[in-house]
Amino acid sequence: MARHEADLLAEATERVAALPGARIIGTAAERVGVLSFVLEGIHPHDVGTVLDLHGVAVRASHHCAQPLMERFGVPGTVRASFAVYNTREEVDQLVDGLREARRVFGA
Amino acid sequence: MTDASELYQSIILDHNRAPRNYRALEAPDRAAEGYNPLCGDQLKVWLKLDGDRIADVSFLGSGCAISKASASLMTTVVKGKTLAEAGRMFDSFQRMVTGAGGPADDLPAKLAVFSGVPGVPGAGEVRQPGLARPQQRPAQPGRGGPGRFQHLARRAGGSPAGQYTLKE
Repeated sequence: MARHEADLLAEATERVAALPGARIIGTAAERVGVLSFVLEGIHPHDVGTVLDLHGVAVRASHHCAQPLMERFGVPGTVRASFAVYNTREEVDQLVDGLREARRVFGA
Repeated sequence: MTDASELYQSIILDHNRAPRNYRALEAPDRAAEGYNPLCGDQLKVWLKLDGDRIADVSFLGSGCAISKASASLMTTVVKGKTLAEAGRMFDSFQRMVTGAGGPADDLPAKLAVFSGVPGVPGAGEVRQPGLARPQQRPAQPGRGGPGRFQHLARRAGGSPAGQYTLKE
């Protein structure tokens, strides 16, 4: 199970990081299946809304960690979580949704 | 609504990318700050008055595209209006974006882009369109002198929404 989560996280991290304007927030070597990132020029709430309309549920905001957001200089992040029930197809869905957000916002 | 482009129509994207009246005002007659602790959106609004007419209005802040675009559009429609006219438009706008219904004939057509807000899942959280609408009331007795400015950015209906704190 842990391996499955780690694999999904690794794939999602690589594919999101490859998107133009994407910045991964939090790059510790050992992490649970959580990926936090921002897309340049698109507020995290708007990324979250587009993803929601695309059938992907993420959290998007300051995550009740405002001092940390200040430290990173962002209003908030988009946070995708992976667990045992997630699949590689859902990573595809996430990345497609992010491409849609970039298209809508002309980023 | 299932299409992002229905919510993020081009006028919203335009006003988000290039917000109008996006600056501070020197020596304003009214100023207010709204902050939604749930989502972190924050806006500052300034007014200059000529009698009871809004001579100039501006804002600064950070937030989602809907909040920034609605603030930008708000500044363009209230400029030149009287405080009473602006207050009525605000009430109509609040009803529209919270899905409360009721007449909205006094709203300029361009604000209709926000009519889709209530239909978006989770748009109960999107009460930011109201965030930048100052409540133009005369100073209330016992609550400070002129310049006291009620920032009417609460969600109608009492659902679990963020409360905007007024800071002056």
